[in-house]
Amino acid sequence: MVVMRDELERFVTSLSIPADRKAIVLDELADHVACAREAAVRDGLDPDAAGRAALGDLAALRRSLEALEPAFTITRRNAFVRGIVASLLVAFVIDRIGFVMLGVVGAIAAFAIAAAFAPPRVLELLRADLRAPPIRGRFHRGVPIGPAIVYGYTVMSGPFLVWIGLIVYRALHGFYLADVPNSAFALMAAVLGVLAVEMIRARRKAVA
Amino acid sequence: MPRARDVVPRGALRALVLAVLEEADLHGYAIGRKLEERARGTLRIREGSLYPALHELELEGAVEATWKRAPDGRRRRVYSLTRAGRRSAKGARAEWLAVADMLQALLAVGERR
Repeated sequence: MVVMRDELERFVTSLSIPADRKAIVLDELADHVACAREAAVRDGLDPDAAGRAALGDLAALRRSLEALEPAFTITRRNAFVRGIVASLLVAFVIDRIGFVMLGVVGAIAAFAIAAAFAPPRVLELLRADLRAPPIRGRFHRGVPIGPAIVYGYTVMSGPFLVWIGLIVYRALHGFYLADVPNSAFALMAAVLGVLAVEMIRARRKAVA
Repeated sequence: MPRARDVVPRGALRALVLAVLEEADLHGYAIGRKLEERARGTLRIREGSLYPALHELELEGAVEATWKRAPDGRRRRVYSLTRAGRRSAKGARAEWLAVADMLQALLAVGERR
């Protein structure tokens, strides 16, 4: 079993996942292997072979865990910082190239920036928020605001705050023309669209 | 005995895991074995897909994990359904049974010809 534990530790240490998740994955896999060994002993089989077989395809496990585990460390604060950085970039890019090709280039750039800075597995995080039991707020009951919702609202509203600031700043310097390109609304429409679709899906599942 | 399948569609595995957890709180190994027992040798659950599916359900808030101790004292992660998970389990069961019915109807037509 010691050899197996060493192998497991090497495997888990080599994973590109947060350190606290490594500890969880290691203990969970160690328990899994131990269970397989115990079952093999009960059935009169070779426990070492059963332990190794229990681990299965480590390459597939690595791919899945490395894609999923980082999402566990995303906090609302982390999502907010990501949203601020993304929204500043979106505001800057659309301010500069928002009019190119009737706003199509600006809209694509905004989507790409928002996607690049989004927390890992943001859709799963959003579904978790929307499917969680409603919590009672001061005025009404609603879904808990988790990292995905924080990111969505920050990245959607941040650019407008920057543009309002720019309009005021430019007005103070004698420039009174404020044209807002269509692309400025593309990201907001996309975020609200995703929220609406996921809310409807969550409601349907709740009814089912 | 039919050959054991070891590739379960991702959504189907989630539905199966939720269905097993509706009956009892279980750890990963027990979930896999319970599913294999129910499939009577026609299914082999791969660890490479079981634990990621469990962690994904945990991330979505459908299941929650608590640490318990195995008889020999080692740490064991036991999964249970949350309230949202119970709703998801019902929805997933209905969805996959409908898919199975549809496939049965469609493929049976092809077989009769």
